[in-house]
Amino acid sequence: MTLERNTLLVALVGALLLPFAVTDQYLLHLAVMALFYVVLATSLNLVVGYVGEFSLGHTAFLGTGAYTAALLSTHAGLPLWITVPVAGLVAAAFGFAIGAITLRLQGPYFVIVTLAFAEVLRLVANNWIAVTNGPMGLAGIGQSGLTDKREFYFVILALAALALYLSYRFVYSNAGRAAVAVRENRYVAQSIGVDPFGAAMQAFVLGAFMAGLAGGFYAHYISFVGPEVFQFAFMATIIIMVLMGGKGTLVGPIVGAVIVTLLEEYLREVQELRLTLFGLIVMAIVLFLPNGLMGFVARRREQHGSTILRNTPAEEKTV
Amino acid sequence: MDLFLQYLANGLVIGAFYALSALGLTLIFGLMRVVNFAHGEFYMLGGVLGWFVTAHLGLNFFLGLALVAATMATLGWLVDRFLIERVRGQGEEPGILLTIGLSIFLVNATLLVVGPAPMKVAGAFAEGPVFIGPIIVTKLRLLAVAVGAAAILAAHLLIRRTRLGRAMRATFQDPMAASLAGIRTKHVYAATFALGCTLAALSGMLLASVYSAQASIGGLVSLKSFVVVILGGMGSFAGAVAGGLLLGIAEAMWGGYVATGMVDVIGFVLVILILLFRPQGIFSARAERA
Amino acid sequence: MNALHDAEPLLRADNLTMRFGGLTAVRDFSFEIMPGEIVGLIGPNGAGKTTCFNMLTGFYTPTEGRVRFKGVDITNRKPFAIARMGLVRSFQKTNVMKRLTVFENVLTGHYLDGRQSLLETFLPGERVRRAERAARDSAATIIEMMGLGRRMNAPAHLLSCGELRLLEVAVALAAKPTLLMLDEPAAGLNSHEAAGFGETLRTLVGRYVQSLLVVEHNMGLVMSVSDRVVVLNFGQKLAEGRPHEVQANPDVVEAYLGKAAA
Ligand SMILES: Nc1ncnc2c1ncn2[C@@H]1O[C@H](COP(=O)(O)OP(=O)(O)OP(=O)(O)O)[C@@H](O)[C@H]1O
Ligand SMILES: [Mg+2]
Repeated sequence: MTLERNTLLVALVGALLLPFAVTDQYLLHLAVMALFYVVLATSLNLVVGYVGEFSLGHTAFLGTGAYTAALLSTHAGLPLWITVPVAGLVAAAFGFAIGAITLRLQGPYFVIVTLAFAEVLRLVANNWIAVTNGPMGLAGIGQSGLTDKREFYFVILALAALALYLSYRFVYSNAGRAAVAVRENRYVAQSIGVDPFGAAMQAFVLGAFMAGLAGGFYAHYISFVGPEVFQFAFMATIIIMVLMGGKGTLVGPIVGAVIVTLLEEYLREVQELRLTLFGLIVMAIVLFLPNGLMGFVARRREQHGSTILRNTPAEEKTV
Repeated sequence: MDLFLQYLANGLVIGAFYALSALGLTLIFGLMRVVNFAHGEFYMLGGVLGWFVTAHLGLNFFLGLALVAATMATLGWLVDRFLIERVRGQGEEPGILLTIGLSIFLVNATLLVVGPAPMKVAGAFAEGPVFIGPIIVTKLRLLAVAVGAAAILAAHLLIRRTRLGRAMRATFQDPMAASLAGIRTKHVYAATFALGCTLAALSGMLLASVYSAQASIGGLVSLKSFVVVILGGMGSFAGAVAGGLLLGIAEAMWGGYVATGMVDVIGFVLVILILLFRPQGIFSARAERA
Repeated sequence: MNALHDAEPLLRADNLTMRFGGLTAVRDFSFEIMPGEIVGLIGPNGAGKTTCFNMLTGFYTPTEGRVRFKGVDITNRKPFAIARMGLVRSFQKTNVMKRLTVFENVLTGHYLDGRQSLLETFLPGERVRRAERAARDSAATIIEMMGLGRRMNAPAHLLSCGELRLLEVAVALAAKPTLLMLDEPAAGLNSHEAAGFGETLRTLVGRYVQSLLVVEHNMGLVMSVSDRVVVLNFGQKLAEGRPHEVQANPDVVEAYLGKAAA
């Protein structure tokens, strides 16, 4: 708990200083994208890592957030300060509705149905031309006076900090422990008074909210939103980040997001070759790093007898 | 009325391919519980390999079909032994990731080698229309459907009548007891996976003889196969066939009477509704409880 | 048989029947538990004891019959809602959160003490912090009391079979039950451990829980702990009474010997 908090604080300080050290626009763009993925991976991790249900429909929330911000901006001319929070709330509402249906299901059914929802939304975005402009997408989304990459960087950093703060509070709260109880053992959870559906719903809606914020930001930053935001390819990227970094830890998805963003970027040379290698890397991770990088680090620490990544009551009383 | 019959016929043709592909997935997903996201890529490879051996190498259609089946069975066997085997019994997550990785790899490797253009499998004979009462179908479609039906029948006989089939049924009922009874369950898993992979590939090649194969088609096929398997009930042979036909007909009707744009949405909406009201699928009996 | 008590029973099951397809696992079973009582529920394998637990705690909905707890009909309530009323159970097949430590398991068990609004989750005030501290202290106390103090920070999957059973009881206690129901808590303990466990159980009643229902195959343990014993056989009540009465009952002896002979 303390270790994880300190790691996050150090990372935050580093991230705050970064734009003063780096002025290259391309590198700043990479940093913005990495942070964008940090928000997404963190939000997905709440469901996959803490509730323990494998959602493949997270792009539903990213996409609704992005379209909400795009529509509010292009039609009503609203600025980012309003559209992004609204995008989060709309996505949360979708999260509630989709969760009400999907969280009754478990295992492979949950996996496929969450994915089905994202696909339905993609098809709607593709075909409801009057609103979404179909495959052409919505272009020319206002940038609310943010001209510099550095300004966008601070906006997304604020969102990432918010997402991690919310996650941190949730994970180490009574409600977060209830979610973990459901993940670890549904029967025990019920017998100590946890409503599995309610506990999962909290995490699911929270994750949807954060993904919606990320989507809203994305719309303004790229200044364009098309049906691709719902695509499975996006989903695959996010899930790989979470699992590569280590699900069920707060630091893992951050590490995963940064590594995968860079990896995708540096393998960009030839699109197909890049993705071919990417596929191989994914398989290698599953086979050789089953608990992600953070799981690997935690194992090494335990083996070397140093402090375990856990909180003890004694440590807590001294606070 | 004539139009209705025509839509019905079109739906049954497409449905037959859905059924064949879903049959493969019901073995892998329904029985082995591997949420196989590379299933659509197996299908796609069937089409691409089919194009390669018939149009490129100039082999006879049926010879090509046999060659593709053998190649894909081998591939399926290897994938199971070297990848799936290592995450067996660890829940669905690692399997999902592993097959997502495999699917990304297979699509892009295919794109690297043959490019994104559509590839048409050379048919067994010259194309021409066939009239059945008021309905028009084409010769190649009829042939493809007939071959598909034969493949379904063959898979059925394999599972019901052969020693391998008995070993499969025993293994999926109780792996522990099966291995105590001397069944080499590892081989059974691999064989099941290989069979599932082959069925997908056959479906892909047959459909590519009617339309064409394309490297990027896999994702949609995977999703639809999942839809059909859930519609029919996990692991149910008859359910996969019925579910496939049902989806094919529903799509043809929707496309004919309502709107062509959103045809693909039907399957997903059906699945969502089904799981809301009958979580065990339409055709299977009540699932066992914890 | 319970006419001696004049108080309202804490738990009352009326004519419970549970059918699975053609199989009737429990038939027309009625019994009650008074406040302050330790009741033993015994019976040969497959008699329907666990099925009974599942009906009482909402994991199964009885085919027929009703359950009342603290005077309220709980027959169709969900398991977590029943737990929130103060009826908490353990499971026959050991059920703990394997990847969490002993401390984390028991802390999680305090869930009902620390329920909070969404706002309090994200902006915890003094009330939440106090509840959190209280839960941590209480968790440590319960772990010590159950004799698991040395294993406080061990992940549960490293515990021995006996320690796991103790942990399970500790988690259940953390939920502050009025009535605690334990399904074969001494399975896997050696006779020495079982005796110590019996001691612990007796100290629980009155201090931590009001009443206790124990399913157990270890006759020595049940007979020494229970105020009253209920015997199930083939899903039906065979006998009920004080431990020595039940032990002397010829039907009970036959049920058990019959099973031994089979
Ligand atoms: N979910 C279920 N579906 C079908 N049959 C069941 C189910 N649960 C229990 N049974 C059957 O009900 C009967 C009673 O089982 P139960 O587990 O209640 O016995 P028990 O008294 O707890 O036995 P033991 O001492 O072995 O734990 C058994 O025949 C069992 O097979
Ligand atoms: Mg039992």
